[in-house]
Amino acid sequence: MMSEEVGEGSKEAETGEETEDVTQLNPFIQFECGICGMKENTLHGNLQVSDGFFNCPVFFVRDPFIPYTRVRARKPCLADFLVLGGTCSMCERSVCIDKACSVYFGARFCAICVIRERRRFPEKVVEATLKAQAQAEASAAKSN
Amino acid sequence: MEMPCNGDVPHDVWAVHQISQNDLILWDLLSLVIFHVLLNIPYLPINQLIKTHILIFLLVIRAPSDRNVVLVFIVRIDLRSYVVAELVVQEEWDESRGSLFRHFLPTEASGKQSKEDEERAKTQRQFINSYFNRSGGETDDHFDPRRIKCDDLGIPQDLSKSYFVMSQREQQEIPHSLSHLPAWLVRHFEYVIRLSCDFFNEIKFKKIRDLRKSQRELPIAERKTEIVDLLKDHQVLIVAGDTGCGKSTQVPQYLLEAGYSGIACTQPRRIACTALARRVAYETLNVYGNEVAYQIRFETTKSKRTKMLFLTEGLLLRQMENDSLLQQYNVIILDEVHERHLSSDLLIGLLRDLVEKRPDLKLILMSATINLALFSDYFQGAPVIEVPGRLYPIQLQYHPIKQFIAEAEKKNHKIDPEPYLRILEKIDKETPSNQRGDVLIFLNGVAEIETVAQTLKTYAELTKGWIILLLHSTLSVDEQDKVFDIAPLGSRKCILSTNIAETSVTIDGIRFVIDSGKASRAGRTGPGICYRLYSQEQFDKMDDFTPSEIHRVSLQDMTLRMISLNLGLDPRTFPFIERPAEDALDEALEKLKFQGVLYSDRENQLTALGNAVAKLPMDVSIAKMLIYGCVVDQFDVMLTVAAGLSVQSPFTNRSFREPDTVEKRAPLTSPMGDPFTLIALFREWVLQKAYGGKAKRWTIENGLDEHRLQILEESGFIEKPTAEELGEDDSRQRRIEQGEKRKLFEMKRAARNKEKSRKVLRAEKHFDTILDERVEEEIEAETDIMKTDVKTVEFLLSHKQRDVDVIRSSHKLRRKEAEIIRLVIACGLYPNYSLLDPANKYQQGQEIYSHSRLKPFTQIHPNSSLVQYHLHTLNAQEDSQNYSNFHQIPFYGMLLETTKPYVCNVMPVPALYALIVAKKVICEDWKLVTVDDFVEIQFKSSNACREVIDSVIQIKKELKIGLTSALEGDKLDMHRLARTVDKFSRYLTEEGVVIGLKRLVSPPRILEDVGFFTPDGEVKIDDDKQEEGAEEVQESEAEREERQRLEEEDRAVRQFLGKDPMCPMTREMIEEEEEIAENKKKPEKKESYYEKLLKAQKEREEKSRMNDEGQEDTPTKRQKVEAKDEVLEEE
Repeated sequence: MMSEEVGEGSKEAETGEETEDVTQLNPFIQFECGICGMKENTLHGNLQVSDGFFNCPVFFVRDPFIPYTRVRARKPCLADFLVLGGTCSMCERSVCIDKACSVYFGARFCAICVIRERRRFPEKVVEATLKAQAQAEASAAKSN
Repeated sequence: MEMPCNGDVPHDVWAVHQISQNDLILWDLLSLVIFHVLLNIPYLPINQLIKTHILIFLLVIRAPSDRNVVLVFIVRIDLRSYVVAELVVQEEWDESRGSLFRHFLPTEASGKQSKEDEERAKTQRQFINSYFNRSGGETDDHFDPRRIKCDDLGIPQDLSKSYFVMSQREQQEIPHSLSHLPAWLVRHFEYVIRLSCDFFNEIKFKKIRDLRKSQRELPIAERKTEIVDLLKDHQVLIVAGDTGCGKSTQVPQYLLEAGYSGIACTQPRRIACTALARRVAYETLNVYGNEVAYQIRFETTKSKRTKMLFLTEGLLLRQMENDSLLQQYNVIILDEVHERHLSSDLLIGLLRDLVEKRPDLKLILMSATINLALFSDYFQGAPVIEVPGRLYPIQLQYHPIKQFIAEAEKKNHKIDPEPYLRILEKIDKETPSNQRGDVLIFLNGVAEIETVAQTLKTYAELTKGWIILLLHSTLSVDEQDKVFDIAPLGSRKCILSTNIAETSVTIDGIRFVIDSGKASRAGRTGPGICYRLYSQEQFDKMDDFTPSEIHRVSLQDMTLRMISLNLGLDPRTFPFIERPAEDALDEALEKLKFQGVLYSDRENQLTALGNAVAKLPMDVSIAKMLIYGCVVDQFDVMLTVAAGLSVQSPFTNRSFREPDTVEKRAPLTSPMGDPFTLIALFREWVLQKAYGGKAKRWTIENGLDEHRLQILEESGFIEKPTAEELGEDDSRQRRIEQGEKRKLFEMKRAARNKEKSRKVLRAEKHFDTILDERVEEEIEAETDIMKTDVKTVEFLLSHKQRDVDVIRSSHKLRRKEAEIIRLVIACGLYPNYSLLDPANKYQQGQEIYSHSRLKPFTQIHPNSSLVQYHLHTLNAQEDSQNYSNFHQIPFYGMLLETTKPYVCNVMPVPALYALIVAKKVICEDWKLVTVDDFVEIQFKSSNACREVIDSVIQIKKELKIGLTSALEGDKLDMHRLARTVDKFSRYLTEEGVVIGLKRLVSPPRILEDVGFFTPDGEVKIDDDKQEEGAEEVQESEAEREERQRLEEEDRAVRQFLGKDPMCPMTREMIEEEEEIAENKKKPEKKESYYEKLLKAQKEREEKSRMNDEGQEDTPTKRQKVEAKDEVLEEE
């Protein structure tokens, strides 16, 4: 149902005739964060819409919290979607966007890579990641 | 030494210290100076200053007095320092933000935006504004993501804030319109837009994280993998967990996640279906799709995409009738089986059998932990997963009421609201009002709820800290939904509920539970306190659970269901999980025989009528009515009556307490009884809806619940004939309708989505006025045709103009039609009829008693339109010997046992109609007739008796023939029957057949030796007795010929008479003429609401099309995209 917003944007019109078959396919894949284990059914791919794009493929869903309204001539925008995660540009692990799991710094880096390569990252990036991890652990400990 | 300077330079600084960033006071002073300086150096534009980062300028400070010394300092200021930057940017920002917003975030034309878009745009502006107002930004940042230089690992080698933002924008050259602004500021602005996108994404992401966390913390979550694994190897699984363990919401999700589809989950209550579907859809992030859907009696959200369906137990049973293997499902979950409703008991038995026939089917039983052994014994070998309930610590407080009453005495006890009030006071005293937390009170039944609610409302009005709401099954859906809304800050909601809120419905934010009797639980979504209005000892003594339904209620419906499944089931030998009592089963079977649904002389076999009855999803009596309605060609009207009798009265409970309303609607009521009032109301409403467009106002003014009228309208139990069937196959017309439908469909979805968001309750609006505000809104909305609500759109979707016209004409009853309809209703309601008590006084406000066959001394419900407005029609005005020609027998739709036995939906018919509908009629001497061993009718004249009995036999036969052929799909013209009935009724009233009525006390429970007996012997009419079947068909063949002959004769005579101008017109001819005249008189058709709506929608679309013209997409391309959208979106 959302595939038309994905990709270059202009190609979608041409594929109109094939929709019959497209609807039969389930475009959703299971996304699992390689660090915290978060699991969601998401779409995966390049997300490029009227007001922005992402540098690399992301795991995303249509925003589940607002109704999907069809307004004539309205073009989809970033806010219609929710990006849950991406791929670590170093180790290619799927990670969610939680600060304890990954950081976006020119590209997405998973927390493991950031810590491993901490000498090569700016101090600020490493510190932020460590801090987020500590917080996540603390709240996990609290709830148990 | 005097510096050349103009006098604007401030004179009040004596010295300048070494300036450091931390020296704030001095900085303030200095900034003032700088400010002036900057303003006075026009050849050094600010943006260039910012670029140079460092500013060197002169400070000229002159002493104020006569010392006449001028000090010249050279100050070197780093503009990157915080204070200076803000100063500059703030100034700059105020001047330039207008053009920045205009360029980057232009306000879209309203046609291109949804409400959410507008909302979002507003938030985004706020975000950006507050960003610049707050921080001003660091100036050493280039904000240019293109400048990024990465090492071999892809790590950027310099530090820009822009690298931390994942949302990207196409970066364009700075356009001319912004060329007057510093490039730095433009890039900074672009960066903040991107930042805002990330920010909104993060908020949503966090929402999901929190949701998942709360799911993980549910007790059932630990068993997730176990449940999924067990289901791989076992067909049947039992999940036992107490309230609050999360089984109802989570197990369906585990299955969805494990890849199952075609999942059905049954619930005992409709409200649970909708609430659970909503919750599970939310938790699977599928709120606005249809993957998770519900289906209840008149409503469904199911689509082709649905994988998970919540439905009522009754509905699943229905589906088994057509699809005994339930092929459409792969997994069936029976939830709350411990409640032991009839339907769930029956389903358990049937499904145990079904899993053997369908090895691919999975069955999950979910129950509380009580009485678990019963289920695990019934499903030998099925693994059991036991989960502890309750998540949050519950503090128990016992507040026993002094006169705590034993269960048995409870019935007569009037509830005292005092203790409940005291607990609200206690909460007010002990809990600060800024701590959120709502109250749930469990009570027994609607009467108790209303008593307590009144008292608490008074308290709430006093303290203004509470909103009192009710939750029970007789409320309208709108009213029920209110309990899910959020209380405004500073006040709490207090929900008074029957035990429907105990299971299946989780209301967020409940912190306090007040429990008056049965064991119930609090703290489903947070820690809480449970106040028990009884002592620990009393609690220990309480029964664990009430006896299951199968031991308490009539088994009639269940028995019929079982037999109609056509699985050859015998209710007497069916392997129930718990066997019902033998005599209860017998009684149910007897009643079905009484109603002519089962053959009276054969085991468990449906009559032809019974077969048809069983196919209809409603009470036997209502189904019968519909079928007979079909026979006499009054299907439309009967549909309305049937639907009306199976829901509550369309009059709101509240309206009966408002004398003005009661008086105002008097003209809408009918002296012929409640069903006829209903017909009139419905007709009026449809007309209001289709033409007036002010239907909501009309319903309010007359104290009607529109939702209940809606149900009448949605009552298309049987599919409406399509255009082809009506012989109106006009493909152009149909195409137009398709287009209209699509538009309406869009509007419907928009309206429905609007309804889905949770609202905040308004303070000081309680259960009795809670809907008013909404109503005001809706009345308001009615003036704007485009703001129409989902119900109206749905109405228009399902009712085309043509249908409205059909209703308008079919629901306008003339005497002849009314007469036959009342006979048909009586046929359906039989044996629910009663005899009026001779001691009744027919004056306003009097209680009217009547006696039904098995239940003496029932009262006609005081809210019946008959008792309220047309009491005199019941008065037979009999003479001293009980003779009268006005004797009436009230038939009733329902026996309601609350504080008293009441009969509801009452319709009186002339007493002699009983002979037509009754099962057993005996006349031995053309004077005295006994009906059903219960009514004795004494004729004054035996001639009249003969005449009556002849007519009755004729009507009975015609009805029977009509029924037989209708059931065979062969419809006869029932014109003649209508005339016979009309003649009969006129004979009764106009001729005045004088009879006396007598009630025979305590008739036998089971009616034996049924039939129609005259002094001449038995008249065979019913085909109950199978052996006479063949003979009867022949008889009816002969009669059919006779009938046709008579009808032809009739027609010939009429034609002949019609030609003769001197011959007086027959009554029928007059009516026909009148009808023609009326049609002619009909004024030029008003533009209907439907047409108005479509026109408005079209205009709006035209407008937005005009706006689009010349923009990016070419029209053809856009159409293509839309066409595709439709395929994707609509089912």
